[in-house]
Amino acid sequence: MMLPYELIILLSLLLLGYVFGRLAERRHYRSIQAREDQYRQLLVLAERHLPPEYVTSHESRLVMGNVVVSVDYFKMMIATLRNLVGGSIGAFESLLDRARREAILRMQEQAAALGTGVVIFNVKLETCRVSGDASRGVGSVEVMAYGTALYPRGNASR
Amino acid sequence: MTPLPDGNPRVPEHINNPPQNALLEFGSLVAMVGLVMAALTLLLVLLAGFLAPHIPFRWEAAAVSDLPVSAPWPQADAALNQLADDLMASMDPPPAIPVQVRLIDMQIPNAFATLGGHVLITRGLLDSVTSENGLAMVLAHEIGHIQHRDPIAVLSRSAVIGLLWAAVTGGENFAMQTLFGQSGGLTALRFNRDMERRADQYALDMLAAHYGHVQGADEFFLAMVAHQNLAHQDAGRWQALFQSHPLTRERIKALQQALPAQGEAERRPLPPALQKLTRPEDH
Amino acid sequence: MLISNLEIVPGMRVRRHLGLIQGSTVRAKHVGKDFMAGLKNIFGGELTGYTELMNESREAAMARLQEQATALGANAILNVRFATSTIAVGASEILVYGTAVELERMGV
Repeated sequence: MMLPYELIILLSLLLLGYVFGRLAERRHYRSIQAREDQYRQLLVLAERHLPPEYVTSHESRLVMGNVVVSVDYFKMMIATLRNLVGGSIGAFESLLDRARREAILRMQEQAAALGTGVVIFNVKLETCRVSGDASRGVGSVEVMAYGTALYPRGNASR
Repeated sequence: MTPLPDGNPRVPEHINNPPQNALLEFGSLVAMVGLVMAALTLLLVLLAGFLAPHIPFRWEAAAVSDLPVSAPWPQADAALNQLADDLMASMDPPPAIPVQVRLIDMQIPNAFATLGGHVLITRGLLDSVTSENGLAMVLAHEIGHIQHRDPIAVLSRSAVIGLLWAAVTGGENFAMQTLFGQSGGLTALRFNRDMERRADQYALDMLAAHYGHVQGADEFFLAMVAHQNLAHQDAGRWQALFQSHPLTRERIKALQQALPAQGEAERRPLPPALQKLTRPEDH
Repeated sequence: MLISNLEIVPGMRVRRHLGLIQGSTVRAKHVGKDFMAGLKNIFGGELTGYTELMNESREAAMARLQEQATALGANAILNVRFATSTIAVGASEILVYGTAVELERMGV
């Protein structure tokens, strides 16, 4: 008996999702780690209070970074099943971990354009579902990071 | 105020992203959900099969008073209904549920028993039997389905399975239905085979009561098997039939065991109204 | 581990500032609970199944936050913020983030 074609389609989607999803995730994590090292000195803080000397020596500017990512078909399937059984959904946790770190990195990239000695204060993170039918699990999620970058007055850049 | 940190912290990986074996997780989830779904489906199917025959036939008949198919041959319908009535009258006691037969214009040889005591015979079926006895076997088989309340049992079964699916998957979900839909379908089919066996037995009893023998009971099934080998060339025409009436060989074996070993008893020719509609060139 | 959403702890001062840390988790309840919550939705009122879910998630996220803080050698997390978002129906993400610090008692 031949496999029904729906099953063939499903299995190939799962396989594609598994292979490419894994590749993409590995590559993304490597890139995130490399850039995090690069911006290690560009501080990202949840603090709202500035050191007193900054008040006179620095100027401020809102910076933000965002990213929209989506899970692969394989992980979406795992998540759909997990949703029936209950428990923690590892597939989404790694997705969101990547998305948050990427959003922070993009915010840092924006801040880096302000020159040296930049510190980002009062960082906040927002997550939101962007697309995807409710019954078919997650489509894609956006993570946005924003904060206030303080840069030394002398920096001419805008 | 404290000094600012030297740099952003280097936090260990895998705190917010715990390591996971995706394939293993997928496998165990499929197994878990599959088992629960299979158990629930089985339970509901058994429940539906148990309860459905107790739905009063009056309700069923009121809901399906007439069929939305045309009746192109009234005289043939009259002959078929006469045959059905004769068959039922020969039983002791006669069956409780009245049956209405209609000949429909379809090439595919087939017969259906549906809700409301309706039996549909396709025109193509007339070509695949050679005597009234062969036709009576098919008719009696469908009457058996109706007397056993099989149509309503199948309907309520698929209704509860549909409800279960809708509840679990939240409506249409291609992936979920493809992954687990197969098991549900198999269970339904298995019970259908039980129904077929029961209807076959009922039909044999009816034939024996009416004709005094069961010669010709296997005519239609032999025609089916003869065409099964042609299924590849003629797939469109026969496939639907094999899907709804599985296990033909097994059933023929059971039928032939019921047939007497001694020589041919007399088979009656088809009633004239029906004979007119056969197309001998098809043989 | 001291966790606070203030930036100052009375009687303590920050000796070392260790930076931004975060903990997050995505969780779902099994269909049974989803179904009960759906029923409850008809009548209104508290959906205890989901309250429980959110609490469990929040605890798990806090545990991860503390794990990060411990890994950095912090003894307190200040300026903590929670964020919640729905990732899929019946599955929600809890994110908690704050500043990892090392506190010391202020000399009188």
